[in-house]
Amino acid sequence: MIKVEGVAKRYEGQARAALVQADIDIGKGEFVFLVGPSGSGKSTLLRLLTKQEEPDRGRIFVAGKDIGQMSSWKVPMLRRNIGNIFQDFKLLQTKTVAENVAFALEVIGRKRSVIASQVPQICSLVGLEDKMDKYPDQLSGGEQQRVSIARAFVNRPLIMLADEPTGNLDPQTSIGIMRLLDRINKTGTTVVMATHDRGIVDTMRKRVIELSHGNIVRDQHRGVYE
Amino acid sequence: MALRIDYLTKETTRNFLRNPALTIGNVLTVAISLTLLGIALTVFWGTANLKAEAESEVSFVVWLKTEDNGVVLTDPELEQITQDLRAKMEANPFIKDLNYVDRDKTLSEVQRYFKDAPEIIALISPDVVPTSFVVTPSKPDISIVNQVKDSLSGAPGIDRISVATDVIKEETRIASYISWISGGFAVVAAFAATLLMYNSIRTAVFARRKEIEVMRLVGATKWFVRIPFMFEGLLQGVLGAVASGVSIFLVNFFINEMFTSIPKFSTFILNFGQETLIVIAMLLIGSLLGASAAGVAVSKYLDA
Repeated sequence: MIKVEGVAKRYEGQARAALVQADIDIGKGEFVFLVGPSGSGKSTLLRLLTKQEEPDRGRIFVAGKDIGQMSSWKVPMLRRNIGNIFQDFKLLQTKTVAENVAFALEVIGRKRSVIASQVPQICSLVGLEDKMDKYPDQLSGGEQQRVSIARAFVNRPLIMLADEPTGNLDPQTSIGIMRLLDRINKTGTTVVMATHDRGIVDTMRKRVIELSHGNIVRDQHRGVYE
Repeated sequence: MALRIDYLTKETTRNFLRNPALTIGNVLTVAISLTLLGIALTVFWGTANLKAEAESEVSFVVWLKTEDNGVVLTDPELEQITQDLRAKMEANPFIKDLNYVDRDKTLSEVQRYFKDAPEIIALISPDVVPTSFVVTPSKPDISIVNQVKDSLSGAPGIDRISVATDVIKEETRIASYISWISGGFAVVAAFAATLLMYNSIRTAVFARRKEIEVMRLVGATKWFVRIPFMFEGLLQGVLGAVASGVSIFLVNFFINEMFTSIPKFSTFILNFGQETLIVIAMLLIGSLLGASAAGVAVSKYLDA
């Protein structure tokens, strides 16, 4: 599903490379944790997968397509197959829960009838069926992250990329979010999650890829944080 | 792109009403900028009217003799001179129009001019009142006027030729200066309007850069993101243009009030058709500038 071959990336004006050498192969339906200290290259790797950044060298394949060769007008199609979840949720504050979720369907031109049927379904899946008319600032952090997950999953993407999704949440809420991601993964969606949360990684015992100074230093199935 | 009309309407309305202070600020900026441009165009057009009027008034008077060597010319003699001169001038390709002013017309003109001085009128004998031709040249050009004047000089029966060359030159020169200044001001005002609109819309776009980022991440195409912003810019441009249109009509109303009583400047006043054309131009410029400024402003955030 995701193949990264010899990828390197250095940001302009930075002395040290964000990614020195990355080679990863992630299969369909896998759940992968990216771990490592801040600045190790986890977020850069996720940004490269959605073509928010371009690598300095190397090739990246998503769903069998070399995204480096992809013309810019095809990038939106790539992103429709990838759901994104962020530590700061990135919800639109002027839209309700239902509107935030519907937004992901509107931008790809889904019919109103389709949106009307899918949005309640997905809100129910994430446990927010009673809060569809609330605005983000009326929700707790955990609820906001559920909205973010609903928005990322409503298109039934092939891949979910989560950048520290529990970083702003308390342990109990984090468990709820992880259960949700696990359920999504069980539908066949590949999940790649960058995290610092040792407890979650150690409890779930999924594949762990560890980065350090832009290099992959460990790739372990049913791994732990360290 | 798959941008639905109901989505576009909903987003534009919501964005338009979301930050009323910013929206009103943008609309006022557009209105003020376009009003400046509209006033400059009004002055430019009014001055062009004045210039055209001044040029159309370029004519001169050929006065005929009333006596020859101290002997008063008889009516048949005067008739012959008049016919000869008319034939000569009608054959001149640089003369467009001839208007003969006989003694009665001249006398009535003198009486009208000196209506407050009957003692002067009493001194004028109808026999000595000269007749004349008012000559309009083929082009309202001073060199043509001089050329025609030279070709008539020395012709029998002509007493003198009166040409207000200096006055005409001065009028057209001043009108040209005002045209150039107001035209230049219009260009500067258009440039300022563009910059002001771009800057205010860029501020609005900057406030929504996070929203743009999210749109791009969920797979929106660049045009899907761009069009609602452009539509909003267009709407702001149109509203600003409508407000500027009202201002321009008011400015013209005051110009009308000021200049109606001064015959010399009455042609400076634009007619309703000309005012309407300026307002239509403001609407087109406002909507075009609004949409394109928003399109350019949002492009900066579409690279990711």
